[in-house]
Amino acid sequence: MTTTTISRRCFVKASAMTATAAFSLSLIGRLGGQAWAMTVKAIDATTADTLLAMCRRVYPHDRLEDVFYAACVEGLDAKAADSADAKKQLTDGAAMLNKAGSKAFAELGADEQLAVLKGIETTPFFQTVRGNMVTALYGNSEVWPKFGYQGPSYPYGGYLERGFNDIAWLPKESR
Amino acid sequence: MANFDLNDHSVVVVIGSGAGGGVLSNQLAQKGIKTVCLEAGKRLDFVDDFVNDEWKMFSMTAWLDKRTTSGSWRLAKDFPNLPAWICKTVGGTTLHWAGASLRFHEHEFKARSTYGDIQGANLLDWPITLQDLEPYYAKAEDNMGVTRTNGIPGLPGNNNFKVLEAGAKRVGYKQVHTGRMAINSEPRDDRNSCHQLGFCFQGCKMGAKWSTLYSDIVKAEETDKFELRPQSHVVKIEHDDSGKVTGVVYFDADGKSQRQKARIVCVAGNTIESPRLLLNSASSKFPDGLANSSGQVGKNYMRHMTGSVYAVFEKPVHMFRGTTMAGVVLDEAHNDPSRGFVGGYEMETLSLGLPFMGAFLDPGSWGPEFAGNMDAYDHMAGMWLVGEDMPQEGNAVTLNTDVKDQYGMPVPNVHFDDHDNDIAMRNHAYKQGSAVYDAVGAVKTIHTPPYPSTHNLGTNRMSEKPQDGVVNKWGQSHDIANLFVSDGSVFTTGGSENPTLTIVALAFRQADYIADQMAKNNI
Ligand SMILES: Cc1cc2nc3c(=O)[nH]c(=O)nc-3n(C[C@H](O)[C@H](O)[C@H](O)COP(=O)(O)OP(=O)(O)OC[C@H]3O[C@@H](n4cnc5c(N)ncnc54)[C@H](O)[C@@H]3O)c2cc1C
Ligand code: SF4
Repeated sequence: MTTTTISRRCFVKASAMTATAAFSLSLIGRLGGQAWAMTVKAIDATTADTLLAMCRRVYPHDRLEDVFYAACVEGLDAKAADSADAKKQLTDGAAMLNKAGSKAFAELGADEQLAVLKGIETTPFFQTVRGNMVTALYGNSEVWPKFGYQGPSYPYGGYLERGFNDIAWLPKESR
Repeated sequence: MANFDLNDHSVVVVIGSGAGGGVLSNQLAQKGIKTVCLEAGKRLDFVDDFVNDEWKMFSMTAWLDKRTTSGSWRLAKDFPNLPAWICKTVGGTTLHWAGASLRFHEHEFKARSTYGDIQGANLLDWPITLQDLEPYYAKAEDNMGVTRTNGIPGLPGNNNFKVLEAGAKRVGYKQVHTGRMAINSEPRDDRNSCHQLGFCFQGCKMGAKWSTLYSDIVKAEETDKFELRPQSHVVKIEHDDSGKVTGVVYFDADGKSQRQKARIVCVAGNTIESPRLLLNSASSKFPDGLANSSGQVGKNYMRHMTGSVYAVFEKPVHMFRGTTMAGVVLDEAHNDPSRGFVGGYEMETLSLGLPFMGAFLDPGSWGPEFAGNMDAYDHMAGMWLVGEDMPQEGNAVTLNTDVKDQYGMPVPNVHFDDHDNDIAMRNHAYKQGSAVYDAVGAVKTIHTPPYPSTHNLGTNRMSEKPQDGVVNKWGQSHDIANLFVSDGSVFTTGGSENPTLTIVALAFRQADYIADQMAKNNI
């Protein structure tokens, strides 16, 4: 098991960041000040760091801390742990990214990273990462509040008493 | 609830427990006819098992057996193994449906005579008229508890509706309301009223939205004439030397093969599985598959012209709060070829949660622009565009003999190309949809391509003449008197409306006919 420690603002328990990371992150309440670890089992540290940089560039949201992108990398790592082919695809893909620019991919500026990714967007490697990410990132319930999405409503009795029709800015004459 | 013997050849077997199969089963049982419903999926409890989570509910209930695609539709590229969004569970796709329940227009039963000979389209008039179906529409609306019928009040408008309504009125549309929805606006029929959960597509945890799962199936079970067998996946319909069907072969929950004898078999597996089952049931007597003397089984696959418009506003909307589809603009639903296409379309409110929005807003897209759109999620309003598409013989469900499912049966391949009329209609609808939102100050509008098909129609179509289609005006196959089709695959043409009310009305009508024919000993 390789642990890549990056100086971030929160700490994530390794168990919460495995294959089901997309649905089971439970970070709320633990954000603030501490370092956190991205824990990978199958892929090496360079690959993990490269994928982390790539994930941020694929769906770049300033509002999201790295920990949410790290969860995507851990989801990919879980696939690599299950399949040698997946591991090879991710490792080779990261190596390709690291050769494509003037420096290691993670060291490049955002524009250059974007240009590198544009150049490989049709590869199976890119499609694997993007395809996994789209469910891992936007399906992560801890990400939802960052976008104003309120998630499950049944436990709160729905929105009947909680603003289902509270819009107040529409032009008057049409209401 | 009854228990029938596998060798009891006096039962009616219904394959599928969704809109068509669930309603038909209950109607037969209520008439005292012994009915066995075989359903491939599991039975869930709506209170205990449903979760307010898009991917979790999807993975629990969607039909995920292998399917393949071909053709120029974008889904073949973005979701090559997911041509359609259909449920495999007791209740079928009535678990995930949104509840919009509109009647067909009169002219939509006469598409060939109204629209004329449209090049490339395989148009045909239905063998029934609106007048034939009206009494059954009334029964269906009462059964499903459709708002704005039977004295049931409309649903209250949510934020997403209010944006649609304000914009629509500003561009001059007149017929705008919160829809005719099979969702209780007040408690009715032992079901709760809508609490605006906003997860209609994930199964209604309140039980406010009609579903055969907790409505018709339960009512059927209260009789002693009905048996539901979940996790029973039918792979073949069998027949005797005279060409009458005699029963079905299915795999049970333990993966064991079983044979249920039957007096009558009704196929209601939705528009991809129903023709597939008929084709997979080919025999030396029927080498092209059952009920296929016309060669039309699997052909004329329709999925409605669809698309979505999402608009970003300066201020928040929170479109996800409340009923997903309780809002409709009907002003474009008529036929007016001067718009550049035949047939019409509706605009209906629609919202997706953040997870599905990521996957479906612009499938495959990534990078700063896409992420910027997602950043605006809580400032978005959304509408779905749904209109009549043209049946084409080349759009078809066929057997892909290179790929087998878990039971060793060839999987269905779904081929689809848009007709020029579909494209012209979609472009018009995108433009009008944007205009609605622009009228109330949209900062930006996004045109989203069709999702995996939710309205799947036409692959066993009804026809007056046996050479033009698969079933007659009762859904009875032209070739085999005791073989019926009881789902959306019987649609001769699609109309512009969401199809389920019509599927249910046809099931009511078919139940009357089957009972009558059984009483007369004709089948
Ligand atoms: C997200 C979503 C929203 C929708 N919203 C609306 C709406 O607002 N209004 C509307 O009118 N329609 C809507 N629809 C469409 C509606 O759900 C369908 O039109 C309707 O459910 C189709 O009925 P059916 O009987 O043809 O098939 P289904 O309801 O799909 O039922 C078919 C059943 O057959 C079973 N089955 C299939 N093959 C076999 C087999 N070989 N053996 C045993 N069982 C089998 C399946 O598991 C399934 O349970 C929506 C659909 C979706 C996905
Ligand atoms: S909004 Fe209403 S109909 Fe939809 S899931 Fe919630 S309670 Fe059910």
